[in-house]
Amino acid sequence: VICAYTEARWDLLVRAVGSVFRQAVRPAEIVIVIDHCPALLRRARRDLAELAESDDGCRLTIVENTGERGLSDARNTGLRYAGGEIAAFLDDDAEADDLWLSYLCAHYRDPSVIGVGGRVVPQWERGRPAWFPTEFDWVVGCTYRGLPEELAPIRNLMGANMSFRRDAVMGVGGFSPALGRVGSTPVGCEETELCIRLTSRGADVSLLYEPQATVQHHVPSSRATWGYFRSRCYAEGLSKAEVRARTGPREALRSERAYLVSTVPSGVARALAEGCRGRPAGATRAAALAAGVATTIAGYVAGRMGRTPPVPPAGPEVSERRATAVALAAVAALPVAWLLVGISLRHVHLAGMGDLGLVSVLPVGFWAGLAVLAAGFGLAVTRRRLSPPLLCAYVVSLVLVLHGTPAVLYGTLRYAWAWKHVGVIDYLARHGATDPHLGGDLAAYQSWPGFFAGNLLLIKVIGVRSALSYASWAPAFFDLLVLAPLYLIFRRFSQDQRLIWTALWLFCLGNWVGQDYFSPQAAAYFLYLVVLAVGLRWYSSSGVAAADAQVPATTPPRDQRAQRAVMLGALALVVAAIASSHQLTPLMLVTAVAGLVLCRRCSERFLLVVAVLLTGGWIVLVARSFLAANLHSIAASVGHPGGNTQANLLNLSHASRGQVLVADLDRLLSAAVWLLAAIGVWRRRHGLRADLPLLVLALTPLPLIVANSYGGEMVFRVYLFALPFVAFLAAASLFPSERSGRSRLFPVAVIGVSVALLIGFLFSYYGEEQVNYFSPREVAATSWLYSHAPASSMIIGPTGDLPWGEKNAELYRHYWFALDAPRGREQVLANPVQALCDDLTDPRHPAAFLVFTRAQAAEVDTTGLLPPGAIARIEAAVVSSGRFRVVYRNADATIAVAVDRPASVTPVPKP
Amino acid sequence: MSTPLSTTPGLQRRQQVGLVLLAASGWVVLGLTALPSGTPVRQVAGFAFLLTCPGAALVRHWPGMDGLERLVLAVALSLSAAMLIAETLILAHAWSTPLALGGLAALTSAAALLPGAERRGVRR
Repeated sequence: VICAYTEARWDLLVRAVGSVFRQAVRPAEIVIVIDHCPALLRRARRDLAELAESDDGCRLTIVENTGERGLSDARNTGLRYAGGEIAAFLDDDAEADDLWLSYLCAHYRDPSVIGVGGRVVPQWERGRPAWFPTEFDWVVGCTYRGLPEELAPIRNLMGANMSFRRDAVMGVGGFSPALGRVGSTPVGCEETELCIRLTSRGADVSLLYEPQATVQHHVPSSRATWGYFRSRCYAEGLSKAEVRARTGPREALRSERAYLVSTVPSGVARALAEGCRGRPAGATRAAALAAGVATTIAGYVAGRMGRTPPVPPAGPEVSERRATAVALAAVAALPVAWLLVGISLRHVHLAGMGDLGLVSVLPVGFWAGLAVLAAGFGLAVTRRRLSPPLLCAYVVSLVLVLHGTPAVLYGTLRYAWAWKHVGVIDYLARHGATDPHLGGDLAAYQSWPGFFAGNLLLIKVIGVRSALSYASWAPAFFDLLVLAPLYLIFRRFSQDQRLIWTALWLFCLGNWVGQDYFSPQAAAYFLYLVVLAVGLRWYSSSGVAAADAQVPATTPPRDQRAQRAVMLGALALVVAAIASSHQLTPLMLVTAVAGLVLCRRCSERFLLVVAVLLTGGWIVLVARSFLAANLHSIAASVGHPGGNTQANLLNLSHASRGQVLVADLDRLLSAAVWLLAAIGVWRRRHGLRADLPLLVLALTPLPLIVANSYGGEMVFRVYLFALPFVAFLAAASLFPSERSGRSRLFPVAVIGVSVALLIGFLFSYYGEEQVNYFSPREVAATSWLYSHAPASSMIIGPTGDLPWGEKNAELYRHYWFALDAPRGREQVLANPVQALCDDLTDPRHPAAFLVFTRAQAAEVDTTGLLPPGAIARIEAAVVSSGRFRVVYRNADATIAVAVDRPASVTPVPKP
Repeated sequence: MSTPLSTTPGLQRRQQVGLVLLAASGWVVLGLTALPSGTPVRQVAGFAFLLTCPGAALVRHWPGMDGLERLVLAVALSLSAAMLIAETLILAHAWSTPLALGGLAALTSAAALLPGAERRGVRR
């Protein structure tokens, strides 16, 4: 195969073809590939055909490069057209010795040999320049000093004189078009990269160097210049960097290291010795050697940093200084951000919290701290020398700041449901058993007790009275925990650390739905991600590895049945924990695994069987009484996607202005993440086959919107389960490939996206804190209630938004009048004193308490359950009516009983 | 129980010590529950054990993973094992902290002392 790209070397081409015809061992066929040069193609078809006709026995084929312009695809074209078993490559400006093919072919008798190359001798057009060191003959594509003098295995062959087994090269996909020179632009190394790919396939294949197979390589005077020498050295460095990025540092630079530590120094020594003996050429040759090495290294460094100017940068000092400044800023921003956030948190007045929740009281310093954090991340992720530990520190800091802030500020457990979850553990601790027939809010937990039973074990083992002592830190804990399986998932699809850490960063910013509090779903979500991470890594179908995805270090032992059983058994343990702790997560897992199996991206069908059996088995064996009791309401919402998507947006027309803004920003943030993901899909469209699992996993939760409203939350849950994969694709909109995102303005783009999403996150996640936060006074009020309300007491209030239920929950009844049916609400609104008095004096309860708190009023006002200010009016009417007696009061809470039947104030007997 | 360990030539001494410590961890934590509530060593050791140890012993039998995978799976398996053992006892109306913790300790010991995947690999 001879590749030619210019008519200017016509005479040389004719000599090259002629030399092949003269071979002692005749080739079956000569393929000449013309690389996108119509004039040359016409001339070759006309003139070279005569050469072929004068010869019998050897076919001459002239074809055009069918791929992209460049030597790599030209060679691939040649390989496709050549019919034989072995393909030898000769440059168009080289002339083979008559025994060339004989020497090359002789070695193919050994089946382990997949390639043989030979010596390339420079044929200088005007004689060799005195300064040109033989160690650098590779600059002109020739054999250089430092290569073996006799037959030896070698890492890579030289493009001007090499041969391969054709099926071996085709088997690894041929030459890489990303490398290789185009026309006369001196970027090369495509053969090095191919050789590394060939030999990395197995230990039992080898490439041989046969110095006796010689070709003469024409070196025009234009290449015997200092300028060509320098630019070729620089380009070689660039190419080596590219090869290293593709094949890893060990292989790519093995020969180069040896070359640098032994060949070059001895060359310099020899040249210097010559110089000392009074031959000035020796000194210049030593200088040329040193300059050549320096230029190559400069090119390599530039290539590693992703800069690809064809000539050395004009002001290396300037860019170096800038890089140092960026590196310093990227490192320094982190402590600065922490300092700003830390100082600002001393000046938060929670009592002043308004309609926008925590957002309304966060001081400027907090916002500034987060802005610095985003800026630091933007710089760190676009730095030329990437530091994964630094990126990790940024993502961890983001999680700690966003989710640790409420824990630090409040000092009380946030979110009413978290208190109830603590109460379920308390129930299990007191009863040592579940009660599947227990009604009320906690019914579902009795049938899916995994998380609570695990926490029961935890509080007993570490010796604390209740989970209240640590539940505040659950969001930070779970959000940190999920980063690890997410990292494992993301690295399946890219080895670009920028993409991986940006995806993690965007995941944290997009995760505003607040399902990370102390809850079964938070724990189950972590386990769900672990199952997917393991499934994608160990059961990924072979043959779909992405162009830039990491190849597993060891292939899974698919064929070993015992090993498969161990792996599946371990996963079954995790799936069982999911199936027994939460209602929705196992269904999400089943649809996700089913999606992967159906799209042939999961080779282990038993994983699906295990997930279905455990999920179904748990429902049938343990949760059936809950299901039977709730079947009607579950069945009613099936197939009402409109109702299921709208359910969560109820009453938004009555909601406060701040909450309407928060709800709008929720939607805007979610839409922005999905929009970025769509852009990411578009920008990665060429590798979409490898990304298919991501698309499948982003879309599999969607059908569940149709299935159930899940208390009006299904849309949020679907968003949450799709989020990891959406976040990765969103990050891919910034870093679709290793080559993208290298421009100097790019940090601005990353920081801009971060800040925009961050603002959305703060409003969405902190916007409802007026309702989620409980002041110490509210906690004091419920503590009073616990110590004074006897068992079976009725607790009456506007809503259940109380720090309540963390103990003895099943001993109390409650009635939340603002959540009642419209008629009940209207009654209370029309005549609050009479309606509430009737409730409080209901003889069915031994005692009844009326509770008003700040958070309840905030919930009613912000969600518009009752007209604005209704709770304050009702409370004032009750207190001034004379029919109620206030038994407890502080700034945030009022507890009253009916005068007609005062509550007994004896403490609850300890069960 | 300790025979497979002493006859395994390939295992480094440090690994052996680590496995013995892992095998003992659950029993140590069980002993620590005798300490009064609020003792920091009891809290730290108990949390660390429940979070990592049973899984760390189990992942030994799954070769070919790198450090992060090992850690993630160790945590996931530990949490899962703790949840499943605790809820089994709850559903069986047989809750007892020593029984649950003892069960996990026994699982950890067994998984830590059984010949691991590396040894089985040698035998094949």
